[in-house]
Formats: sequence, C-alpha cells, structure tokens
Amino acid sequence: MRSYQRGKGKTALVLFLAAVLFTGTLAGCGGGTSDGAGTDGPEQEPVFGDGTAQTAMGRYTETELSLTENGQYQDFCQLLAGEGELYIPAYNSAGVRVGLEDFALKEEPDEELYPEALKTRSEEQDYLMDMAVADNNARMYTVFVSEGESGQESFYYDKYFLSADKTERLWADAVDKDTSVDFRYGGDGWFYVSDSWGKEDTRFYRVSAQSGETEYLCELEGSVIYFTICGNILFADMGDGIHMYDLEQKQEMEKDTVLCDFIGSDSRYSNGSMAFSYLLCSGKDDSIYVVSQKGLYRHVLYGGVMEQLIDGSLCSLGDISKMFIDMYVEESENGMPVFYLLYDTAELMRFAYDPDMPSVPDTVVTVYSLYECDNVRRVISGWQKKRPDVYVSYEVGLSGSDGVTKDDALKNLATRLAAGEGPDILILDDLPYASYKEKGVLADLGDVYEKLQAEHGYFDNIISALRDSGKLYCLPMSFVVPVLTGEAEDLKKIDSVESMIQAIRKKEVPAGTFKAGLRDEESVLQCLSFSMGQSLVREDGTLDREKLERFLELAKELYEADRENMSPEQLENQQLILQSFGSLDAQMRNRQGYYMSKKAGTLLQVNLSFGRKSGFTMGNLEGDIRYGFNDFYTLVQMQGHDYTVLPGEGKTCLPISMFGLSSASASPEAAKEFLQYALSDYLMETEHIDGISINRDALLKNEENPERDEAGNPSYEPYSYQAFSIQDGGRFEFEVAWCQPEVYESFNALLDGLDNVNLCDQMVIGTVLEEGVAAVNGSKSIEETADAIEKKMQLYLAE
Amino acid sequence: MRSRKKCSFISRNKERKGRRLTGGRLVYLTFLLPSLGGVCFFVLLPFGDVVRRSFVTAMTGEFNGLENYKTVLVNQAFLLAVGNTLRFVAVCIPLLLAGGLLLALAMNKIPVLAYAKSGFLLPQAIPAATIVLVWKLIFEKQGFLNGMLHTGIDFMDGRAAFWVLVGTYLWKNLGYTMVLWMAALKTVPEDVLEAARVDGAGSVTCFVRVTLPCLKGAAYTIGLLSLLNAMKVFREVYLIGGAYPAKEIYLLQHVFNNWYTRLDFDKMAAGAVLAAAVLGTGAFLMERRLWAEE
Repeated sequence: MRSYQRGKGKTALVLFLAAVLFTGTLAGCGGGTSDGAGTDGPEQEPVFGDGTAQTAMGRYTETELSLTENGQYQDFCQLLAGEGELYIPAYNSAGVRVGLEDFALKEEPDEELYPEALKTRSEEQDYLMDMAVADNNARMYTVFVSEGESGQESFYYDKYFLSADKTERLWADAVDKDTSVDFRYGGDGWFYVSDSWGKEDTRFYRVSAQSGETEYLCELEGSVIYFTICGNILFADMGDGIHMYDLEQKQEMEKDTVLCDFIGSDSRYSNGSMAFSYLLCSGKDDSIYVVSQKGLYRHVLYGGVMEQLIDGSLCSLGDISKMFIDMYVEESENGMPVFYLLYDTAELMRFAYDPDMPSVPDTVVTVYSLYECDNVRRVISGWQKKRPDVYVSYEVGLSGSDGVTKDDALKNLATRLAAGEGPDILILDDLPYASYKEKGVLADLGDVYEKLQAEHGYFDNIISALRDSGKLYCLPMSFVVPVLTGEAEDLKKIDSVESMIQAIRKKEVPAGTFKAGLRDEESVLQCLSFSMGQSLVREDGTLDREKLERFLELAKELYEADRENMSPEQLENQQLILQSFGSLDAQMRNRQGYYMSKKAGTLLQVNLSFGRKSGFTMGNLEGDIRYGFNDFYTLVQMQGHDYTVLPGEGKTCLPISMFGLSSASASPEAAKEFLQYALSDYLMETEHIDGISINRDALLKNEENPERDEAGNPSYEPYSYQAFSIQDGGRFEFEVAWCQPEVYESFNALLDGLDNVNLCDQMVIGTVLEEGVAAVNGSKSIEETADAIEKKMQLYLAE
Repeated sequence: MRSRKKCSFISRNKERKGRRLTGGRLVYLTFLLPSLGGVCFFVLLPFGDVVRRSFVTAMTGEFNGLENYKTVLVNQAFLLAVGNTLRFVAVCIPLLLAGGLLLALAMNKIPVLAYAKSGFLLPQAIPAATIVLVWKLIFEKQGFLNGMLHTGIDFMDGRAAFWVLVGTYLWKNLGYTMVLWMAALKTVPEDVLEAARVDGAGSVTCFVRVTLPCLKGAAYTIGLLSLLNAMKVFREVYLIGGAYPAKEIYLLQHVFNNWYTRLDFDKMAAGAVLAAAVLGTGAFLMERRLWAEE
C-alpha cells in the first residue's frame, strides 16, 4: 500500500516536473512583444481595465516662421532676447525682430541696431564671419581678408570689437591674424572666444562687452568643434567628448559621461559657418537642454538620464538638411518651456507644449529604404510639420553602423513582408523591384497618380514608361538624366553610341587631355550602363550574350578613344587624381546607390579645375535648379559646350527615390496621403531635392528666377561664387547666375523627350562593372570577359 | 498455499501489468512530452506550413496546384544545387566515415596517439569565420599555396573549389567522427574477439567478421550526424563565396537563401519538401535495412 502510494507520488512528481519543463520550454520561446530595439516606432498605448486604449495626451508642437526676404536667405547669426521679443542679428543687414507673443515679424527692422561700421563693410562687400552680439549691441566679428592676385592670394583674419557706442577697433589682444576664431556671447556681459580651426590645442578667452578688455580663461587639448556658455560653465566639444570649465572657480570640471555618450556622433561635424549639428542651452537649476536631430532633451548635469521632451522624428528637428544656429528657451510656469530654434535655412521654429495633443500620434506610416535617402528624410520632416497626427517611422536597411550587409537587410525585409508586418511604403531604389512586383508585394498606384495629375503636371513620359500592363507599381520622386556635353556642332552629328565614339576619336584636344573626360575603365562602363545597361538582360530573364559582347566592345572603343591623347607618363601622373576621384565616387555610390554617382557637374568641375578642356564629358545630370542645373550649365558654358541626352537605348533617365506602396499596408489611406504629399505639396514647396523633380509644375516653378535687381526686375547677375583648391596649389573658381528662360525651355524640351526608364538589375550591372574592366583595358578578350560575366550571372539568372 | 498465493500474485500482477502498462506509458510519454512538444511545435508544425506553402503562391497565398513543384524541377539553379549537394555528400560521407574509423583504430592500437585525441577535436572549436580567413589566405590566387608552388591558380574558383570544400569538411569533422568511432569500438565484445582469435582468425578477419558487424548500429548514427554536418558546410561556403560562389560549390542552401531574399517562398517551399522527401526516404531506408539485418 505504501509502495503503491510512493509510486503515485513519484508519478505526480514526474508529471509536475514534466509540466514545468514543458511550460518553461514554451515560455522561453514565446512570442512576446518586441522591445522596440532598432525601431523608432511609438510605444504601445496603455490599456485600461475596460479593455479600451486610452491615449496619453500632451506633446510639443512646432510653429514655423520664415525669415527669408523676397525668397532670399539672410545670414543670421544669433538669437538675442529682448523685451517681449527676439532680436535676430544678421551679418550684412540690421536683422529682424520677432514678437514672442504673436510669433510674428516686427514690421520694420530697427536700423538703430545696425551699426554704421557694419553697414559700410556690407557696402564694401567685406566677408564677415563668426559674429556675436551682446545685449548692449556691442559686437565681435571676423573679417576675412584676401590679398594678392587670383591664384596667388594670401589670407588672414582681422578680428574686431565694436563697442556699444559703435566704435570699431581691431581686436588683436591674444590671437594673431592668421588664426581664425569663434565668438559667442555668454549672456553674462562677456564675449567668449576660442582660437580654433586646425590648432593642436585651443585657448579660450573672454572679452568684456562693456570695456572690450580681454581675459585669458584656459587651454584645452585638441581642436574645438563647438562651444557655448550655459550659466557659469563653458562647454567645449573637443572631439573626445564635452569638456566643462567652471567660469567661477576657473578650473576644468569632471566630464559628464552621460552627456558625452549622448552627443556621440552628433559632435562630428559642423558646416563651418556657425551652424551646428547640435546645440546646448542652459535650463533651470543645474539642467541644460540639448537639441539635435534626435530631438530635444533635458539633462541635469552629472545625472544619469537624458529626458526627451521632443522626438526629433516627429518634427523638423529630424530634417537632415537643416543645421542649428542658436536656441532660446523661454521658461514657463507649468514647467514646460517654450523653445525657439534658429535654423541655417533662415527659419525660426517655436516649440510649445500642447496638453491636448496626443503624446504619440494615433496613425503610424512606416517607410523603408535600403540606403539612407535624403529626399525621404526631408519629405518626412515636412510631413510631420503638416500632419502631426500621423507619425512616419523611417527605417533604413543599411544604416552603415551595425555591420548589416545588403543580403541581411533584404532577408530581414523579406521576413517582415512574409509575416505581413512589412513597411507601408517601400523606397524601391536597389530593392528587387521586379520580384516584389511579380509577387504582389506592391499595390497599384494608378489612383494615387490620377489624383496627383488632377492637381499638377507630371513628367508623364517617364511615368508611362514605368507602367506595367496598365498598372503603376512605383512612383519616383525624381530622376537623373545621363547627358553628354560637347561642342554643339559635334553633338549634332551624334545619334548613337557608335557615332559618339567616332566623334570622340575625331575630336582634337590639347595633348595630355582625356577626350571624353572618362579617365578609367569603370567610369566608361558605368556611363555606358546608364544608357544601355537595361538591355543586357532579356525579358525572359536570360543574359543577352550578343548585346553583352557589343556593350563590352563599345566600352573598349570608348576607353581607347578617351585616352588617345595621353602618353603613358601623363597617364601615370593622373593616377593620383583617378584614385581620389574614384574613391569619392565609390563613396557616393555606396551611400546613395548606383544612380547618384558620376554627377555630370562634378565631372565638369574636375575637368575644368585641372585646366583640361576635354572634347566631351558624360555623366548624370541631377539636382535641383539652383544648386544642380545652374551650376552644371555654367560649367558647360565655361567649357564652350552644349549638352544632350547620352545616346544608348532610347533617351534614357534613371528614376530615384521610387516610392512603392505595400499591398499589405496597415494604414493604406495614410500611406497614400503621404505619397501624395511627397510628390505634390512637398515638391511644390521645396527647391532642393536630389535629382530632377518628377513634378513638372514644381520644376517650372523652381525655374522662375527669384533673383532681383534694385529695380525689382529679374537679375542675371551671379548669385553664387564657388572656389576649390586644386592640386598645383592654385584655385579654381566660378560664379553662377540664373539662366535665361530659353535655357530652361530647351532643358524642359529635353526632359519631355525622354522615352526610356532604366531599371537595370543592380546585380547584373555590378558584375559587368567588376568583370568588364579587364575587357576594357585589354587584359582579357571580349569573349573571355563575356564568359566570366555569363558564368557569374548564370546562377543568379537561373534562379 | 504458498504456491497458490504466488500464482494468484502472478495473475494479479499480470492483470495489473495490463492496467499499469498504460500508467507506465503515461510516465514515459510524460518524460517525452517536452521534447516531443518542442519537435511538434518547432519542427513538425512549421514543416506542415512549408508543405502548405508549396501548393500556394508566394505572397498572395492562392492555390497553385503542383505548379511550384514543376517550376522547381525545371529550375537549372535548383538542379545544379541538388547535384552539387549530392556529389558533396557522396564524396564526403564515405571519406569521413572511413577516415574516422581508421584513425580510431590507430588510436586504439597505438596508445601514445590517445594523448592527441583532444587535438583532433580542435577544428570543431575554431569559428567558421576564422577557418574561412585562413583558407582564403592559403588558397586564393595570391595565397600562400600559389606562392609556394609559383602558380596562379584560384583554388577558390572552378573545380578546385569543390575539393577545397571537401578538405575543409574533412579537416573539421574528422576528429569528431574519430571520437565517435572510438566510443563505438569500445562496445565490441572482447570475448567474441577473443573467441575468434582462438578459432584462428587473423586481425583482418577479426575486423571484417567481428568488429565491423558490431559497429553497424553506430555507423548509422555516425553517418546521420556526418550528413547533418555536411549540410552545415554552407556557412563556410557562404563566407568564402557569398550568395553566388563558384558554380561547383553552389549548394542547396544557396538556392534557398537567394530565393528567400527575393520572396520566392513558393519555390523555396516546394524545393524544401522535395529535399526533405529525398533525405527522409534515404534515412528511412537505411534504418530499415539496418534493423532488418539485426
């Protein structure tokens, strides 16, 4: 009996242990919820007893105030608080005043605030840098001085102190004139100065805004990236973290590791014009505010946390094209201060806390791209300003910081798509577009395009070329056009790649000049692939051997024609330039994908900057009007050239930032709205995108000349000056003016005439670029190279 | 009386055995339940889903009949991968089993070698990435081997790549297999061997007639483990040649991996079912034969 009971006890124990083991096994592998690592999606909303989700309320919202005058940026330098207003001084004008109550510009800038000495300098077109303004309107600034003949100039920096009674005197108390400095006003009656830029160590001084007397503060190891004064502490980013110097105790303080870790990679760049990737500003008690693309944070010195007040991805803070100049904090009674932030795009933003706004937007739209896409970042930033109720989460497959390969990223995406948890919008650049289309991953965007067309004109010739059996699975935001530049007479004779090679061979150029400016094998292959790459693979997915061999033959001929005028010694001398340019171009390709490399404007600059007037140039025409086409056209004219579409398989363009809508999108309506905004409102509002806008109306709008002369008529005087140091120690410089209307007319006609969209398979092109080099330089025969390419592609295409 | 009691105990015991057998089975089943549950949950159910997916389209899930199987069976990449995988298995498994056994016998015969036993397991402990790096240094066009031979052969490409892979597999798994064989050799009854020797059998006869038949059961297990390890060699190949290595070392996992990247789940599912069917049938037949002989 006892034995039986013992047996029962054993059985029960076994059953219990087995149950525990089984439950443990399952629990260890249970679904669970994601901890959100690696995503920037909003947190789960709390669910209350009745099972309904109650939205947490309260969020900072932003208001924008444009400070541009007649569409022109003013070069503002600082925010200065006054009685119920902010004064924003500028380098070459009186600046502007903004009322804090109504957040609007005051009618007239107060000319009293603009000292005569600065007016004179502005009229004499002195180049002012690094200005700081005190409460009493005393100023410190640098004047950049260049002496000597063009190409042989010497430079130095004159630093000035302009007292409150408007007397200007040279400030040379501590720093010699060869050294550039940075000025800040500390808000405590002192200007702070760092002798920065290129020095091994940096010395800090302060200058009294009243008397102009100089006091030495300290010396820190390294070159300063950014410094500011918060309360009694000087914060200086020396590249190895934020150093802190106690201005009362006159001694360096211990580093705040939490702050240093947080700033991390944000500290690595500034655009060299007093605009920064992050800012610090003093707060209540021992706290400081930190603003960066990540958002706006509060941090108590030596505390363990960075408290997020504003999420950068929900507002304009996340816009990568903007940098910060200055921030002003207006403390409020409810403990939620109002923040004023000045961008380098002459925009003043006000961030005020709205207790009635949901802390996390109800609707989320996820956008995925393989590479970081500047166009998408800008669109999201604009969208979040317009629609704070719809959160756009942007995911980048290859962020470059986590060692993920392209293959890994594609597999991760495939897993999510298969699970029905994929992104709502896919940026299809370098993604397997054909496969996604065939598998039904992408939804038809025909209805979206119809709505867009009802509002604006688009390059329908390009969109039509993207249609597949009447359906539209992608909509590009912009495109680039492979172009050929050369003398107008020569270009008229070119209608095919063969005739182009003939024209290049016939062209007479000075000895030591590349005839087509192509320089190396890969450039030749890449340029030809822009206009011919798509035809290498047949519709049935097999490699067209005949076309591949012809492609390689043409590339070889083009390569030989390009360097006909170069002796072996001259080619040897060019090696260094080739390597450095090749590596720059490869960086561009790795960062933004294949289409964003080989910029025609850059190639022209390279040719001209070395005094090489090549007979032809070929590359991609991309960019907006102001900074893309105008620069390109100026350089084309400098070379005495005209331009046309690069010959090949039709008149080809390469689409970029291609939006696709997931057929399994959880928020299809919001995603479609986002798409419409990107291609309609955003493109109409902006003048700066990568590539040529697919929205024809937006392009036409950007072609309108905003430059005005004194009478208010369109001005064709230069609005931009560009200079580059070149290898022999000299400088290459050029000025850019707005083009005449007929130039844009012929540009538009060229764009309207495009009839082919190159969606070539990146795997195929990658292999051709890699293996084709041997055929182009003759180290292997065409047949051998074609064999090697075929062998490599065999498996890929057979799959 | 006593005998009656005994008989009645036996009959009661028999009776109880019938009833208690169910309880005993329940205990065994309870012990089995966690692993059985795990296998069902993580292997059988997902495989069931793979079988389902092999009959539907990749993303839309529409019924596609046998189309996926037809596509896969005419897919040149799949057929090449199957061929390469079978060739690899056909070359490697016999070499590994024979090599491991010979080494194990040598270890048993020469006691000094037993000290080197742990050394043979070392390749198992080296991470795949390190092995690949060393292999590249040795076998690439500019590698040590070409330097020594004054040749310019790319051993990582073409036919040579297959043999480099075979070498890698053998080098990595030989020690482990040898240890398994050594354990199996210890189970061969010494008295049977002794009896054979007394009957005049030489060492070769003893090995062929006594040792080998006794190792049959172990051979099945070691063979199966070697087969599974052969499937894991993809890791090294992928690190050497990426998603598209030399044609000769393009294995079944490559084609599955690449299909997955391009969302060809339908083809992948059909291919996986076919591969599982072939492997499963092979293993089943081998097991059946071994059990039947025993």
